[in-house]
Amino acid sequence: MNKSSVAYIVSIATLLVAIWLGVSIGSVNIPISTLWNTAADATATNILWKIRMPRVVLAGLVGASLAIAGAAFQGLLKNPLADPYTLGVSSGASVGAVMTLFFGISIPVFGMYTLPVFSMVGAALTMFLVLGFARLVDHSMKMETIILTGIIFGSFLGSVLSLMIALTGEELRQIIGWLLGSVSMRGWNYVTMILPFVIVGSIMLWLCRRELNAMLFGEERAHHLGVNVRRRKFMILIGGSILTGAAVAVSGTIGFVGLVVPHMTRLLWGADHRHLLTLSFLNGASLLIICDLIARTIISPTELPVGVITAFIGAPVFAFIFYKQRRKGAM
Amino acid sequence: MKKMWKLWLMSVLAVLLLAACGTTTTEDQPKVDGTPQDEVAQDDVIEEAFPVTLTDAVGNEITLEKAPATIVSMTPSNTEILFALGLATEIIGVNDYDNYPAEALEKEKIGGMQFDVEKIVAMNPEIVFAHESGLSTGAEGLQQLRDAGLPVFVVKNALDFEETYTSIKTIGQATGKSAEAEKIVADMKAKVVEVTTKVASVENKKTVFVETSPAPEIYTPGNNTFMNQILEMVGAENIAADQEGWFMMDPEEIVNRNPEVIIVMYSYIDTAVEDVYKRNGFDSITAIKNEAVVQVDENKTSRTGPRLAEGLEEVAKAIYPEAFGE
Repeated sequence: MNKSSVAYIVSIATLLVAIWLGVSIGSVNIPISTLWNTAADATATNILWKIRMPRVVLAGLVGASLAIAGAAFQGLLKNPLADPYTLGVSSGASVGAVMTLFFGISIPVFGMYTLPVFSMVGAALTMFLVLGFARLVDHSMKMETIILTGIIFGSFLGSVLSLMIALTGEELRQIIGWLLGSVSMRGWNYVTMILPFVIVGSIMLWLCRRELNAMLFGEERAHHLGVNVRRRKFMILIGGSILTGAAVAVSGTIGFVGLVVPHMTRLLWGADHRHLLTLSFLNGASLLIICDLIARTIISPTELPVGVITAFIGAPVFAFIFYKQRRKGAM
Repeated sequence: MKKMWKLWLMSVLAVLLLAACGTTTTEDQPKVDGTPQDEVAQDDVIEEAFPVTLTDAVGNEITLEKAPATIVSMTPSNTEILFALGLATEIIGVNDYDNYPAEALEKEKIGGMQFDVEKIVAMNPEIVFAHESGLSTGAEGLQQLRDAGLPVFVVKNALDFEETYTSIKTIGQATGKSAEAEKIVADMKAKVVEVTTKVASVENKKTVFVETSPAPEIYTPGNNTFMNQILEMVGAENIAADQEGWFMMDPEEIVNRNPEVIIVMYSYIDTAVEDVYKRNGFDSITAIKNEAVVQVDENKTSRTGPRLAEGLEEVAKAIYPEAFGE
């Protein structure tokens, strides 16, 4: 059995364990058998089917989206610190989503998908602005240029959000909580809201897995290898924006998943994008399910925002990667 | 607007100047807004209580030579108390969030949690009523006010009805309205007795869940909160009382603890109550089945002022409508 099959088996097994833990553990202990036990009491069935299951599934989808988007961004930009959060794309998606709520926009054609669609538009616009500006500043698009640009745009958009919240006063107060990032109490309709976009976005990125490998050697080399660099780049950026936008629309800004997961996956199973993308997808799902499990059980019955847990794990990992990267550069 | 404000400032200054010239008695008259003679007489009696020295919640001694003619109130509860004491004319500045009584909306705003120190100093009130609950964000600002020579009285954060009565009486003392304060407290006490007597007849204690923000971040008051005390007073059992203070509760746990009544303590969402009924997985909760999700006025039930007894009544009615013949 080769290394990549082992990687897939381990990742799928981890995901299954994560789902099993996520469904069976909670502030209220309910045996997983309740899922198929029709004689179980109504409260337990209700909690499991209507509160916990959609939550676990949503956490999985959001984690998977952010992780695969992060893996693709890192590969495309050859930048280990890139992820939807550091690039400011998540903030862009938030602004898109908050604007939708702020102006009460509802476009009949999109129906329930209005929110994720606007969120994605926000994500895509921010992405092109950030990259465009970074290129303008520094044509070689060095790592720190992109990250700094991401921070500039991220804080600007953050202030736009604060301004909108300050201007509307109480009506948008619910959004403040939403911005912290949470997959709590979303229900199945949010799962259906995000699912098509997760599928489309992930397929777009997955189709570019070979090209991402080729681009690791530089765009020029990739071009010589027969890659239509412009088209592929565009496809990756749009795919990443779709995934980020969808994730933010249903869960707010949950940081660091897109950063941590691809790195851990790369450390464990190597940097080959043919596998990295899929493995990141699986591990991202596992990680966010586990983080959410911790968030709702660690000080039960009090619940923590899941963003607190991801940042708690993510920030030190971020620091570690940065340190290693710099040391390598110095040598 | 700006011109109005300048005019105001000028008139305040003029009044102060007059006061300094020793014509206090004459300029005190117009404040008694149309109330009959006996009130004036009362004022005169209280007048004898001045100068009065009071110690505030942070241990500062504030000495007032006479009843303050200009007042800035920094929290909604203070504002409600001051208006109830009949100081509508004296109040010149209120908090952004002050919305009761309606007259409070017309007063000059001094900011919210972040208040405008310069504006308050420019208003030059004879007393500023701050609140202990605002110290975490406002202590430095209050010190600046004191440094500018303004008397700042920090009202204690009342933790129960008794302390609320004390706050009302203290503010009454500081403003020369002790008699009015006593009356408000007596009315509140009577209301409390009326409500607690009514609910005392209820045999089955109900379990209650109170939420102060909607899903997904459902916050609830646990033990040692004012709301918990109110629930105890009306003979209800708070399902979140095993935790201390305010916290965000896991929705699964709410379903599991199965409250008989859900009290919604926010109104910034129009569909607050409907949303609770529609919440995923909540359909097995008794309160949902029995349609016992009730919205209460968050201001009456949380502001430690004269309307607190009404708040108590609202909560009692929400939980035991049968005791009120509804």
